[in-house]
This record gives sequence, C-alpha cells and structure tokens, in this order.
Amino acid sequence: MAVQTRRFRPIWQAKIRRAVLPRYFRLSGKAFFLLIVLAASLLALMALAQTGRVVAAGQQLRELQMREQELLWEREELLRQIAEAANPAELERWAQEYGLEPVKPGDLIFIPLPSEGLSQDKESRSPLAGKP
Amino acid sequence: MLEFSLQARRRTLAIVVLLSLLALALFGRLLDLQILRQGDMVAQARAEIKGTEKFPIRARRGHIFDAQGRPLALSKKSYTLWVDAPTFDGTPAAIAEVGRLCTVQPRETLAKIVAQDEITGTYCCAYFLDPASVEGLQKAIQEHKLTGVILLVEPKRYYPYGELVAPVVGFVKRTDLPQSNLSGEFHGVSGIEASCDPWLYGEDGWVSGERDSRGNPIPIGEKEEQAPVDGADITLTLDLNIQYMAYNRLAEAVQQWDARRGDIVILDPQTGAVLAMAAYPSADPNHLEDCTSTACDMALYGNPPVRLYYEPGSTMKILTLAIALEEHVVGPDTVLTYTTTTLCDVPVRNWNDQFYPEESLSEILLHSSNIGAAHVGLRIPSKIYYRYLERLGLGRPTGVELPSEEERPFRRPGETGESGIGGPKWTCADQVANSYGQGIDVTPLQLASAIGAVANGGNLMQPHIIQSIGRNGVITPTVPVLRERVFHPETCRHVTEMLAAIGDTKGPDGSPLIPGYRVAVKTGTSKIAIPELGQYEPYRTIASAVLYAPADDPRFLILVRIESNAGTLWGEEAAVPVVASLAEFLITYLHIPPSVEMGETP
Repeated sequence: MAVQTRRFRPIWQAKIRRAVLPRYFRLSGKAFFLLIVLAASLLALMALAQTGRVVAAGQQLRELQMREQELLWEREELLRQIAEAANPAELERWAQEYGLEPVKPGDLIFIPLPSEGLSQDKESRSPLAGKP
Repeated sequence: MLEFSLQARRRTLAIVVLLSLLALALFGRLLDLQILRQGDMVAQARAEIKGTEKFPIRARRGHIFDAQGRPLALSKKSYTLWVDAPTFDGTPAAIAEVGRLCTVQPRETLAKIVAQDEITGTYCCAYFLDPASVEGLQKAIQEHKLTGVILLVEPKRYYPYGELVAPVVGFVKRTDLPQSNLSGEFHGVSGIEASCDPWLYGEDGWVSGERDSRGNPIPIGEKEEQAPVDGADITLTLDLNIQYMAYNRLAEAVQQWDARRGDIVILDPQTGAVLAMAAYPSADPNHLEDCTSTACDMALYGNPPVRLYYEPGSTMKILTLAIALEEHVVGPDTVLTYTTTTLCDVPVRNWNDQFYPEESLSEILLHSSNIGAAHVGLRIPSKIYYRYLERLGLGRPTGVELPSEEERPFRRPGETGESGIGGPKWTCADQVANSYGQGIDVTPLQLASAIGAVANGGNLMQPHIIQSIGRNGVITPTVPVLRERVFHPETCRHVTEMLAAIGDTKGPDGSPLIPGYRVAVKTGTSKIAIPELGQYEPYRTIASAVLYAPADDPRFLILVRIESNAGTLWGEEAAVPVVASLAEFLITYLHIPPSVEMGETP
C-alpha cells in the first residue's frame, strides 16, 4: 500500500510559487541593458512617428491653405470674366452687330391682368406703406 | 559548443560595449548641450528662431457689386519682385529677365546687386507684375537657375468699368509699402472704397509661431494664430445698365455743346435709392498715373454730384411753389397779377426778358418765370421759407454713404453766410433770388432728394447707395430711411400736375415729351457765382433739368446738370434731350406701363 509521505504544506508551496514567478523576469546586466535600449528605441520610434505625422499634417495644412488661396484668386479671375462678359458697352456692340435696336416706350405692349391676387400695387411697393 | 558559446559571448560583449560607448557619448553630448551649455544654446536658438513676434496676415479686401451683382471693384493677382542682394545669382538669361522687369531700382543698384558688389539687403524691384510676365522667373526659380529672388503675391485693385463708375466706386491707394514677406496695406481714398473702407478692408490676422532661420514655420513649434477677417462685399443700389446709359448720354451732351463738365443723378424717389450717379469728364482709376489734370482730379477725388455746389436756377421753383402751396399763401388756382418787377429794391427779369403781367402757378412753371416765382416766394414769411429749405436738406449733407459731402449753410434772416451775392448779410433780396434758384447753393443730390419729396407725396427720403453688406454669407440689407415728412400729398399732387403739364408740351412742336407717359419735368438755367468777387460770371451758365416719371407714381427721378465752357447754355436745349432720352430708356428698362392709352391726349 502506497503511502503519501510528503507533507502537505500549502502555505509553503504558495511561497515557492511566488518566489519562482519573478525569477522569469530576473535579468542579467547585459540583458537588462539591451532591454532598456530596445525600450528607448521603441519610444524614440513612437515619438518619431508622432512627429512625422504632425509634420505631414502641417505640410498638408499648408498645401490646403495654398490651394485655398489659389481658388480665391481663381474666383477673382472668374469675377473679372463676369465683369467683362456683362460690360454694357460690349453688349451694346454685340447687339448692334446682330442688328438689334433699343426698344422705344411705344414698342412695349402691356396686357392688363385682373388685379386680384397681384400685390405689386403702389401701396405695397412704397417703403412707407402703413406708416401715418 | 563551448567555443561557440565563448565567441558569441565575446561578440555580444563587444556590441554591448560599443552601444554603451555610443550611449555614453550621446548622454555626454546631451548633458553638455542641455545642462552645461543650456544658457548659450537657448540664446542661440532664440537668435535664430524668428517666431515669437506676431507676423501679420493680410485680410482680403471685399468686392463692390452693382444692384445686378456685377463686380465694380475686385482684386487681381499680381506680384511684387524682390531681390536679395547677397544670395542673388543665376544664369545670364534669368538675370537679364530680372533686369528687364526691374523698374523700381536704378540701374546702378541693379548692377551692384548682379555683381554682388558691397551691397547687402533685400531690394524691391517691381510692383504689380502680371502673373503672365513672371512665368519665366518662376520657372527659372523652380529649375534652380535663379536664386535670391522673391516673388510676393500682392493684390491689385481692379475696376472693370473704369471711368464709368469711378466717382461713385472711388479707388484705393497703398498706405503701407510692402515688405519682402508681406504685401502692402491698401485703403480707400475716394468713393465707396473710402466711405466703406472699414467694411471692405476687414481685419488683418496674425500668426505667432516659431520659425527657423529661413523664416519657415516650425511645424512642431509653438504656434498661435488669429485668422484674418476678410472684407465684406458691398452691393450698391446703382444699376450698371442705367449708369452706362446715363454716362453715355451725358458724355454726348457735354461734347455736343462743348461744355466744361456735367453730371447726372438718378434716384428712386420712393426709397431714395441711387440708381445712377455719373460725372463727365471722368477718369479711369486703373490708370491713376495718367491722371494729371484738375478735371481728372475732380472726377477721381471729388464726386461732383455729391460735392460740387451750384445755384440751381429754375428747378428751385418747384420747391418754392410747393412751400407756398403747403403754407396756403397761394392756392392751386391762384392767378398772380404783377404791378412791378422790382422786388426788395432788386429788378427781377425773366430769362427771355418777357413780362407776363398775369400768371397762374402753372404758367409760372411753364414760362419759368422768375418774376412769378419771386412774387410767390415773397408771400411766404421768410423764417418759414428758410425753415422749409432746411427741412428739405438743402445746404447740408444728405447722409448718403459717400464721402466728400460738405455743409454749406444758406443765408437766413438775421444771419450772414457764404452763399449769396450782394453783401454779407441776409436781406429780403436774398429771398427774391432764392425763390427762383439764385443766391443759394445746393448739390445735385440734395436737390434731387428734395424734389424727390415732392415726387413721392411729401416724404424726404434719405438718399442711399448701399443696397446690402454681405459677410460670411450673412447679408444685411439697407432699409430706406424717411428723414422727414415735409409736404402733404395734396400739395405734391398739385405741383406734380403743373410739372406734368410742362412734360406734355416739351416734345417736338409742343407734343408730349414721351408719348403715352405723363412725366413731370422742369428745366433750369442758372448763372455761375464768383464768390470772391461777389458777382456772377457774365456769360457762362449751368443748364439743368429734372424729370420724374410716371408723374402719378414715380419710379425714377433724373437730375441733369451741364456746365457751359464759355457761352450761355440753356437747360431747355442742353439738358432736356438728355433727361428725355434717359426717361425713354428707363421706361422700357423698368417695364413701366403707359400712363395714358396711346393716341389719347394726356
């Protein structure tokens, strides 16, 4: 009959387990140094990556600002083109080229409409409508 | 196995030693820079970093539009060319291109820069270069064929319609020269550009951030920025089509009659909105360097319709009769009988030297009778008469959003003043002359505004030329302002009837001026005072005419003034064709239906 002769000492065994576990992390001097270097490198890389992203974002911002400026200048140029296209002197010259003539008051034909529903009468057009 | 292990250990040891030495060196260097020499390093960095001071960012100047949204003033892209003498270098062709564009610096300076001969600093070489003209330089800089050249973008104000709207829109001038890294500062000198300068200019921003020795921002450095607030866009009540017609008709008339100058004001009498304001001769603000004459200065710096006072002549009779009717010193059917032409010891003559012993109020206006107007004027108590003129805004700024308005108080009972001929103190003769528009100074805008009160039924509207101000998509419209209710509508109706009767006969052979439409019209011919001498010029006159239509519900009021060059110019011959032509245009342009059926006698 086999007999368990080992003493059952749970507290002592727990103490051993606690003592062994940190041993895995116990490093020699060189290993510790390498670990520090690695950690420092990792941190440096992370910092570098962050800085790189900031710089890239800054660059992108500058490019967008420059693009905005270019678009604003383009808007000015388009406004200038609108001004040229809407120049009454040019329009008059163009109209004359096509044989168009200015309308005279007698050439206008007005068709009277029932006034019901039309609000553009004298009272409503006046800015003083309703004032004493 | 043991041997390998020993070798590996040695190698590892060697690497560790090497890394340790490097780390030690790095640590030592950091210790040296950041702790031992910290003070020196900080001082050196501060000297190199150009960043802590605020660097301005120019706001973009706003635009000016007409009532239909056409741009009257905008900014064009241009370049300022700078040369940094110590670093200036490049291929002979590129240097020659710089020399060709360089117009600001004398040739000697340029030669020294090219030779890099005992010269330092940054020199401005040219302003307002067109983008097309610097393409070659930009290419040379990109291809590293040229160094030490700075092309700074600088806005150039551009007025697409030049002289057409110059007195109203005005122009800008540079008040602060540009720097090699900052464009100049521009502010309005005249017109809307000046009066609305704070809105149009906006607010400059600034950036405060660390910059490297080349002036480039350091992205990870400290940075603070206040964005500029771009200028507001201003939309005017002025309509470019109406302005174009007014300017052309005026120019034709001035040239036809060999006149010295002229101007036109067109208002909406219901709201006081300025639809057109033209002056001839005018000048192109895009070419200020060509403006050397006094007339050109006047056109650019002083908007004549709001600044140039004149004695209005017979157009003033409209106001005299309206005041008399309002005060019931005459009635619409009153017929005046004259026994004398000498009033207040002053002989009064009509323009054609004719004498009408008996006249109704209508006939006074139809004949443009000075004697009749003087008799009516004298029936109004002096203090009341001048009180009305004051209420009508004569001699004082109208409040329109344009600069250069000046006050010129007229002479009143018991007062002395600058206006008037015949002595320093007011006399009864002043009232006689004022009744028919002599001895009293007004500007065309003041008179148009006052007659506008008669046209619209008695309300003196404040003239305004700004329709709205827009910034960041928010548009603030201008609301018409009623300055004062001066006349009763009944009074205005009587006066308008009298003026419409004139309009019914001013066409060819006594026909209506504009068939089918009732238009109220009055001409004026006035002498030109020489205040220093206390007398009038012997021959020269100012011809004027005022017209509003449709007479019963006016949509527009036109006032034309043409100043003769040497001889006498009559309102009837010089100004009436202009107002008639413009009225014809406006009736069609504004789609105004006829007042009477065609073929029917108005």
